[in-house]
Amino acid sequence: MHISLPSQLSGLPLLAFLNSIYRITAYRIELNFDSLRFIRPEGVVSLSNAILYLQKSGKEVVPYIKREFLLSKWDPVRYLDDCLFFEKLFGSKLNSASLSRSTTNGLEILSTKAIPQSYIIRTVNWLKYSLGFKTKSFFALETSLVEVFNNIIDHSSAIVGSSFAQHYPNEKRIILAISDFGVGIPTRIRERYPGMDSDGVAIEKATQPFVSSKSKLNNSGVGLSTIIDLLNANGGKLIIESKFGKLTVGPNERRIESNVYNKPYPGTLIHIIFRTDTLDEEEETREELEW
Amino acid sequence: MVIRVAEIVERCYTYEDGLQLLKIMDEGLESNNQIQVSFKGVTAVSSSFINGAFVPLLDKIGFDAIRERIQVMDSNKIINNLIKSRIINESNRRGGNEAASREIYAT
Repeated sequence: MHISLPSQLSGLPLLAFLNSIYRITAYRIELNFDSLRFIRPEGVVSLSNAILYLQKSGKEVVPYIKREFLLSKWDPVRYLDDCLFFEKLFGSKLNSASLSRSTTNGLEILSTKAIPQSYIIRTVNWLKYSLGFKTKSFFALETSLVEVFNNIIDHSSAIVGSSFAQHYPNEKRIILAISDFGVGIPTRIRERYPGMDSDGVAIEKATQPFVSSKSKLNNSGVGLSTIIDLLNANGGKLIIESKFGKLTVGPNERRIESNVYNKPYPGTLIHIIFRTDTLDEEEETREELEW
Repeated sequence: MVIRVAEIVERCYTYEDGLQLLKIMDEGLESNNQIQVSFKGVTAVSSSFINGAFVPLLDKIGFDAIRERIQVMDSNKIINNLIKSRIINESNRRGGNEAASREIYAT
């Protein structure tokens, strides 16, 4: 079976593609990358999970690329190759000369059973190097990553998961995209709080402190609210898409949406958008706990 | 007695990491009236870690004893707010300290 990727892996085309993979019955799938024109972090992790899902379902997925993509570093297929996409998912780079880029830390395929400790540390170190902040600990970023991964492990029953970070120096921000294909936040929240009006409202509920699903008793339900607090201090933004819902939390913004495209995201996609212009090299002050 | 968290666990990422610190704090509290817990060198602390390390102390020694006998040092605002909010909230769930809860959420 030959499938062409949408030209842009975002919004409705992305959701349509992701939902289509569940209807595939063919054993061998040629995935045509020639049609891809643009991809951002959410597309990278979503496509990675789609391929992983098909592979875990016992299907053979083969990349199909004809065009000469090596000539331009702006070509999305070249970009994916540089980001280790083909190496991680298919075992080897498309072109052995592809080089890693300083503005990304590469695709990471997540274990759904354990925190990816080395990946978190690598991501923090990559960021320190990128920003030239050798001594700063990036406590908030590291903690945010840990909270997201804890949530995936504790709640999602994820089949597959992927993570990817991109630094945009001109925009002075970093986008971390983390996706799992699992039951989704709305499903989990409704197990504990039935009757939620919409998936968007359910996601918003999940970000309130001390709201947790029943899935793991030692998870107290402050993970997402912790991330929001950290990003508020940074001036950054959190976007969560899960099933038919979407929540955007940023400076002076808290937007709940449902059925934006009438197609569900088959799990959860989290964007952590971290500003780099509000960071400074100085280490935060250490202090005693005072009650 | 000073307990250096960075010497007990490699990372403060998981509930299970927190249980390792709890075990050492337990032992320290058995033989010392007060213990100091230093977060020097710790680069991230998750809420799950705090659940494992500190929340069980509510059942073991109670809220007032946590405040009096455990001194958290070399910490930061994020860690301190996490510890305080988790302990106070759990204490309230168990029918404890409403005054402290009002105070913490007012600041």
